[in-house]
Amino acid sequence: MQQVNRIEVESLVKRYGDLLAVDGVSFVAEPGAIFGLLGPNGAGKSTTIGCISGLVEPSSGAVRVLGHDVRSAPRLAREKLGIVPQELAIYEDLSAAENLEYWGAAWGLSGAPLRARTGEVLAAIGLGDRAKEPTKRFSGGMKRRLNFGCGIVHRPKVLLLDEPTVGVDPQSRVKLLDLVRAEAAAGTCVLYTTHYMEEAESLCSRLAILDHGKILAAGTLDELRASLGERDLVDFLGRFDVERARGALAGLTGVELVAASEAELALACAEGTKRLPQLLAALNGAGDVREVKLRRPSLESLFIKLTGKELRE
Amino acid sequence: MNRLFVATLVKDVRERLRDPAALGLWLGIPLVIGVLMSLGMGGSSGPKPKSPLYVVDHDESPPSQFVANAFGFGPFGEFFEVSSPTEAEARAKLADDEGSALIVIPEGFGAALWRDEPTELQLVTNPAQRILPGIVEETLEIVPDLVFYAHRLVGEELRERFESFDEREPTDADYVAIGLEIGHDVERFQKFLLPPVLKLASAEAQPSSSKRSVSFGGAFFPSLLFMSLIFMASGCAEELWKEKRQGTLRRLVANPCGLAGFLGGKLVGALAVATGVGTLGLLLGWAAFDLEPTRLPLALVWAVGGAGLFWCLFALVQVLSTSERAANVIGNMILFPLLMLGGTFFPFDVMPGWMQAIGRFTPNGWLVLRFRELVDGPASTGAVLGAFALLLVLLAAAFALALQRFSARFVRS
Ligand SMILES: Nc1ncnc2c1ncn2[C@@H]1O[C@H](COP(=O)(O)OP(=O)(O)O)[C@@H](O)[C@H]1O
Ligand SMILES: [Mg+2]
Repeated sequence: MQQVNRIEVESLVKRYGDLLAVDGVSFVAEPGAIFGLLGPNGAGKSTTIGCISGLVEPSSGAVRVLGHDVRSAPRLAREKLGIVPQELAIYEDLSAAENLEYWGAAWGLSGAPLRARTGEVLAAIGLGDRAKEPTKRFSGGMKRRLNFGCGIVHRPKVLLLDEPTVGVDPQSRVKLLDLVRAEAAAGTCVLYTTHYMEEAESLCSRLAILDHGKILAAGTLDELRASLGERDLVDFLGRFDVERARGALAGLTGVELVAASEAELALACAEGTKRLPQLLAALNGAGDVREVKLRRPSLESLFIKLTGKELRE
Repeated sequence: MNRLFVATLVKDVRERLRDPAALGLWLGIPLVIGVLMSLGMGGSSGPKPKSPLYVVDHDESPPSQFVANAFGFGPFGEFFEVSSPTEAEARAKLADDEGSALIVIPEGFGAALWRDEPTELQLVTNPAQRILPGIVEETLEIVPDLVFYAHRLVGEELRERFESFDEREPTDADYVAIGLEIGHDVERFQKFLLPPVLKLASAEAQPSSSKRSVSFGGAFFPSLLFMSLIFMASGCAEELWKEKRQGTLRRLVANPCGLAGFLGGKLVGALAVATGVGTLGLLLGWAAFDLEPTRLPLALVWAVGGAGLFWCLFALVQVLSTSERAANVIGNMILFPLLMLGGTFFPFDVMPGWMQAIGRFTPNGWLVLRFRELVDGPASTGAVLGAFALLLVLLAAAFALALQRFSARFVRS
């Protein structure tokens, strides 16, 4: 059987006493892409990741990694699994290189390939010049980058990332996000949890919005927006005859003129990109268009609609 | 071979070597205690004229007998002829330049010790002699330390008991009962958590080969070696909570090799360190106490196995504890009474009979006594095989138990 770098989660439930930390979660994360789990603190993101990695015993449901059930065939499921836990998981008394060597060796690398790979990862996470220092001297961002490195040193085909950028400096964050993209580009199936909207928007090709252990919505960014009837905002800058513009746009279905002045027309409509030529044509006789701005509705507003609350406190 | 096992073994040994201070402490504490205990015992083992040492025991309690007996034991026996004249006779003899010193144990000495009340040993030395009285004096200076440790360990319990003795003096039976109670109630050992014994290490006493002593040191040596190994085992096992604190177990559970490889790697890592410590210890012992070299390899295996057993016991304490602090508190609560009772802080030979009887059944007491047979006692092949088999069984059972708790609960909680 051809192994596919995929995570399949089916009707996953995790109960802590009366609390349903994960409540019937299902999704499939595909190879070469970043699947996002977006949700506020306590939504059940880490618990879901834990059920995949083996840290948490699910109450019911099934999880398959690379086609292998994590409970009946844990060894095969974990062979190519990389994990970057939300809390740091590094040895403070060892150096960065020694940490990478340990986790690499624990997943089967040895000898020259291990040393080569360690050097490669050190360079990638930007710790090449600090490789020999005990990691307890590292800054938070450096530790986070090393934590990430320890999860990918054995070249996993399925990578679990649990809020890897929480509490890091902006430079480390940019670096980390680039590293995550590089992993997906190399064919790895990446599961990425976060409570940062912008991260989910800029990283993930597909995502699921999670709250109180339930998936509220899932799909590509476009699908999510469409499913919620969210419309794009299209801004036209230039010089307009407001009355004529109003008349020209009135004939188009699903287009609403939100704001109008001589210098700017703001329209709301679904699938703004696709309808742009039509809009431009309609405005042809109503003035000069010098600039067009298309803004997609943010996940933030989506999230507020779904849950009735802000994502960040 | 399980790659997680190998990786963990290598990593743990690496981490240990990264911390030479801890290594030094494990070797240093027993060395310092050993040096303190054998202070003043010098010279070669040629025949010497013995000098009279008078012990007048007005108390005749087990503690006073302990003090009195200590001077009849081992190297003291080579220097001193202990006798118990009346105090007046003894003073007269010293005045005539006959004998080295007079130790007067006052009445009520034992009870005062148990109650942690001030009491005093009186030492009268012969002004014409210098070295021998010096030995007596320095040795006696250790007694307050030992009493101090004992009180940190069991003091409160003893005081409570002694309140009930207000009307009468404790009998031997009372002492036995007290001894048996030691080890039952653990809370009272809390005070020992910052054991003053650790302070000794900062004294940085250098073991000096001129301080060699044959029989006392030779007899005490196994105790010191096991003290080192047990400290080491305890220190290595504490790594388990450290792993948990550092979050590494969260990544570890996702490893395909399984947790047995990990815990096994840690055990064998501890055994490797024990082999280093044990080899060093045995070499020291061989140099200082003329141990029979052909017996040392088997003795080393025994010592390392014993360290492994203790590692498993401490690992079990770690994985059963709900916090790192609790783990270390409970570990110490078990460690120090065991060391006291099991002939590890001081040799069996100077312990009162009732304490020896208990100590034999502590794991370290058993390990030390068998070790002494392996090093210089009569040891039949059958007995040796039996002892090794039992050690292996205990080791396996303790490891299995620790692994079960480790995988079922510890890594996930
Ligand atoms: N070991 C546990 N015991 C009891 N409740 C837990 C445990 N772990 C997590 N929870 C609860 O489960 C819910 C989901 O937690 P978590 O998965 O960590 O959320 P997230 O990672 O999305 O912030 C929270 O309400 C949390 O308090
Ligand atoms: Mg979380």
